[in-house]
Parts: sequence; structure tokens; C-alpha cells
Amino acid sequence: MSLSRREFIRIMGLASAAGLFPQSIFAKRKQPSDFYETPKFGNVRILHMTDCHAQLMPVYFREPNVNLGIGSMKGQPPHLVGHAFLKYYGIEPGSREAHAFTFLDFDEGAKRFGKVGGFAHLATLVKRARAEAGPGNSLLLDGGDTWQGSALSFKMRGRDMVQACNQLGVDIMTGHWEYTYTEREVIDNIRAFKGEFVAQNVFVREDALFDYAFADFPGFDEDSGRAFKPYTLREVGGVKVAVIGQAFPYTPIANPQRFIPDWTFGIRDEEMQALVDEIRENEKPDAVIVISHNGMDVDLKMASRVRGIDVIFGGHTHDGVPRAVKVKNAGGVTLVTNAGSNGKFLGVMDLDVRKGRLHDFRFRLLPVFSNLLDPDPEMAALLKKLRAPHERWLGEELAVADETLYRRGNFNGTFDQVICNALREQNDAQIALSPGFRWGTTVPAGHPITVENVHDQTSITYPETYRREMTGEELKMILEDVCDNLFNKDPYYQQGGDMVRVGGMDYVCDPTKDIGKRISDMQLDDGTPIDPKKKYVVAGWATVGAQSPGPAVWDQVIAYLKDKKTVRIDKLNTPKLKGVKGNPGIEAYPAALL
Amino acid sequence: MAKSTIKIRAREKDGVVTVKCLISHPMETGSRKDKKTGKLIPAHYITEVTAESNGEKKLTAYWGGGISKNPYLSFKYDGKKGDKVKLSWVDNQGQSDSLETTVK
Repeated sequence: MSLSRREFIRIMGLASAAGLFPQSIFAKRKQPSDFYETPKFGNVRILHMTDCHAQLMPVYFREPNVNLGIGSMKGQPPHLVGHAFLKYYGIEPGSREAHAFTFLDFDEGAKRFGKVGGFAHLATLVKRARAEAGPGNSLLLDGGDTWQGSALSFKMRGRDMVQACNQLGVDIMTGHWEYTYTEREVIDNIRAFKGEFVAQNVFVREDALFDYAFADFPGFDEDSGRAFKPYTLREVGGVKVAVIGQAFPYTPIANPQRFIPDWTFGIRDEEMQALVDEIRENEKPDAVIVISHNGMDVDLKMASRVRGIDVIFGGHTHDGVPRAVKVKNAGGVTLVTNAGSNGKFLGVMDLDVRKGRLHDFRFRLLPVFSNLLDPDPEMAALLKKLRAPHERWLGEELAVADETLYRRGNFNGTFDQVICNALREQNDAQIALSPGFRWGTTVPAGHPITVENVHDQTSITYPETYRREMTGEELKMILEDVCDNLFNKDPYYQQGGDMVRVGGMDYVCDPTKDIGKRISDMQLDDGTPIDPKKKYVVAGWATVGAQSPGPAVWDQVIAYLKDKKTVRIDKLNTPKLKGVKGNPGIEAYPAALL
Repeated sequence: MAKSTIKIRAREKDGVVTVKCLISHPMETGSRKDKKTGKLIPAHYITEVTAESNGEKKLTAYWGGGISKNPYLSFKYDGKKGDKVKLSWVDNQGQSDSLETTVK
């Protein structure tokens, strides 16, 4: 289906007016009175957002149809998609919730229910949830991946997000993509942040301690070597709550170390245990919670090993999980949640905490539907001010999406294929590689693709492209390596991204095998088998090791889209899969399941 | 005076002093070749490191070519704030350096 611009505007006017103009009569009429009503329970309300990836405005975001769990994780949350997800959580197919949590009938749902997220709408929801809890009874936590993911955040080095989070009233945050700015920028942004930034697992390298440029930063502790404050204590609902930060453990491996040469990370669950014990012993809190960027599988494992944590509020893997998972460990039970991505969800955890113990809880993961929530006027004004200098170039329409363009999923999304095709064409390469990030918003079929959409998929601080020769053997090594980060049976070896996207090449993948044995039958688009010894011209971007020499990937994608006018995917280079038939983490897969 | 090759920090907590040192030194093994000339690069490495506290020897380390460039050394001893800690090194070419600091 390809719409003319005029038809497009007409349909937008009819179907999505409510989404664009939330105060219109459509929005009022559609609004069920109780969708966001969350009756107060207990005495402590923790609001949790994570991985918004700098999406200040409402967006479309398609949840994955492939989110495989391997080994003991098979069929367990968060590795459920589509109908299996609906069945597990008892969600009615075709409902508003079904659209929020699954990919099912995405295009239809996007028309019916409109956009999701947006800080002005989120602000309204946060204010309402905090008002319901009563003054002094709530905290707003942000799990990080907040300062990166949009053209604006790239231009402003994350400072736009610091301002928006200050306006939103974020109390405590931790980080991951925050660390893809320079050390100086990270420290300056934290200084500008009105809440607290906590991370128990980020240390200053021992040899960097001698000339450490940020020795006067209040979060730095010379004795422990920690670069940031590890935890904070808050009085909430009449009790004392300790909040520990857990930054993304693999930051300097998954992202460039060169921006943050002085800092070293890690899961460090032994330090976590020592810290929990120390806090319990010395501070006598009534509850201990963790704001984590481990990723859900890592959080679940950590919860099984570390004693004394009441709740882990998790992010990183972008899993919208409607229920908290109860994990048993030697000290009792730890609750683990994950709150999705792109500003699409707000977690609301009500805790009944009395006399040094968590007695009971209620949890809801609220989808933020932009047309059910009036924009908060103060936040809307701030966003308008921040975006004003950039609206014109961000809004430029480059091409029309002939089918829905998305990224999220374990293997190639359609937008990834566009990027790979652009890389191949612009660099005259046989094969393209593109990182399997889990952020990146969705452009529904028939919508224009704007400059802003392109940046939503590519906005990083190391966007440079490369064109180089690689042998077939090297290509296989890359695929095997990334695949092991994704499907390793031990969650502590998972880095939480998705599989590297490929263009111009097909392969067969068996996620259930071990490293070195997952990838087979690599071949070029024309069916020629990849020869391990032969060299191939490969284009790509986002190199972690050293800066690549080529232009920024967004320039290449923009040039490609301008040239194409209408974008359709003739061939999706998604692998054939082995060993995953019947796995509830896959549905409606566009290639063969062998 | 040339800048010291030694950086040293010493902190006391609960009666234990943690000393951390970083020494700038090439630590050439003597078996590496210069890529341009093909000739061996002469051995140049620290052979002995000593640490004293208030004049009393706390540590002697015998090093060789197996230690990496710009070595890092950390040790602990029972001590107090105000102790004088002195670190010295000698290398196989007869060069040496030392630096004293006060425990904080």
C-alpha cells in the first residue's frame, strides 16, 4: 500500500487526530475513566521508567515477534511474544493492552490506539500516580538509557534529557548509554541533574586514581574506588528505603571505552552482596531496592544469588513485563520487574513496608497512551522550547514507508534492512552489518520517514561508517560472537543486545547450540556460499574499538531514502532458524524454522 | 628537578594503611626487536623496589623483564595517619628514583 501525501494527511486527520491533538473531543470521548486508576496499596509507591532513549515526543513502537529464551530461560518471562504472551498474562486479544505489550496486528492497533509515550503525557501520568499515593509516599526511579537515542539528545549531549527529567521529577537514576558521552560530559550532566545518580558497580581504574580529573565530584569515593554514589537512603511513606544503583555491567565492551577511559564496570554481585549487608547492618532500612540496568535475565540470576534485596527494578532488555517475577534466594524472595522502553510504559509498584520488612505488593506496568493522557502544560512548554531550534530539519520528510518499519526483535527488523541496504548501496559493498540495538522507534506503513525517524534509529556518539574487506571466516566469527552474547545459556554472559543485522547475506542460526556452532550455511543474496578464505567488501557502522573513517550512518541513510522516495523491503536478510520450533518466544517469523 | 617517575597515595582506614603506587618506566625485556632496524632493544627494567614507613623497611620486591610497562603496585600494612611512606626503585641500568608521602 502506498499513499499519496494528500491521502496520508486525510487518514491521519481521521484516524489519529486524537493521538496528535490529545485535547480534542476524540480523545475525551475515547478515554475510559479507569484505565490509569491505580488504587493506593501499602505505604510506598515506586514509579519506574527505563530505557526511554531520549524519546521526548510520542512515538510508535512495535514490540518484538522474536524474543527467544534458550535453555532454562525458554518460555519464561520475558521470553514470550504474541499469543503466548497474551495467554500467559491473561490479556484479551485485540485489546488496548494487547497492542501495548505485543506485536500482534500492530498496524491496525497503531491506527486505533495512536502513539505511545512522550514526556508531556508521561508527566501527567506521573503526577496523577504521585497524587494518588499522597505527598511523601512515592519515588520516581529512572533505569537509564535516558540521555541517548534521538537527534536532539545527540546535539545537546544529553542535556535536553537532564532538563526533561528534572521537570519530570526523577528522584534517582542509574545509567548505560549515558556513558557514551565523554567522562566530562557525564559528570557535568549528573551535576545538572536534580535527582541522584547511583551506581555500585562503576569503579575508577586503579592506575587512573592518581590523576583522576573528577576527584572533587561528590559521588566519587577514594577509599572504595567507586566513581559514583553506590546507593541513597530516602524516607518514603514513613519508612526508610535504600536504593542501590546497578549500571550496565558491560558498558566498556558493548560501547566504546575510549569515551570513558578511567572507568571500569562489571556485574560485581559480590560487591552488591557486601553493600546490601553493609546497608542492612549500618543503616537499618525498612526496604532495600535496586534500580538496575543489568537486563532482565541478568537481574533474575542476580536475584537468585544476592540476599536481602526486596525489589529489583530492571531495564536494558526493553522487556515490557506486566507482572513482577518472584525469585527465591537464600535470604527469601526478591521481586524483579522490567519496564519496557521508549517511554512506552510506567511501572507502578506499591509496597506495604512495615517494621523493617516488605509484607506485600501490587504491581502494574501502565502503557503510556498519548491520547488517553492530556499533555502536562509545563513539560509541553519545555519540550517546545528544547525542540524549537531543530523542528524544521527534524521534520523533513525523506521518503514514504510502504510497509511498517521497525527494529525490535532478535533478528533483522525492517528498518534494519533499510539501513543495511543503504550501507551497501552508498558504499558499494557486498555485505552490510548493522548493530542489533533494541531502541529505535517504528514508522507505520504509509507514514513519511522523517530525518527524526532516521536519527531515532541511529543516534549514537560513534556513528561513523566503514567499508573494508573481511574474509568469510571473519564474518562468521563476528556472527558467532554476537550470537553468543545474545543466547549464552548463562545470563551473566549475555550483554542484552539483539543479533547483528546483516544485508546481502543469508545464514542459518541455531540459538540452542554453543559458540562456534550456531551459524551455518552463510551465502550471498544470489545463493553463492560464503567461502571462509575469500574476501568480501563489507560496510557497517558503530565500531566500538576505534573510530571508523567514513561519514555518519545517518547521512548515508538519509541520502538513500531521498533517492528511493518509497521504501519497501524486497528481501529481508533474516536467518533461517533451527532448534526453536514451538518456542513461545517466536511467532509469525518471516523466514523458515528448520 | 625533573618530574618524579613515581606517583604514590597512602590512606589509612581502621588501622590499615593502603599504599598505591604507579611508576613510569619502559620495562623493556631485552628480547624485543625494533621493527624499523631489526635490532634488539636493550633491556631496561626495574630490578628492585623497596618501601619504607617512618624509616622501617616494609617491603622489598625483586622485579624483572616480566613486569609490564608503567607498573602499578599496591600493598597494605598496619599503620596510622601521618606515617611517612617512601617508595624507591633501582633498575638494571643503574637508574633510580624515590618519593616520600604522608599517610592521610
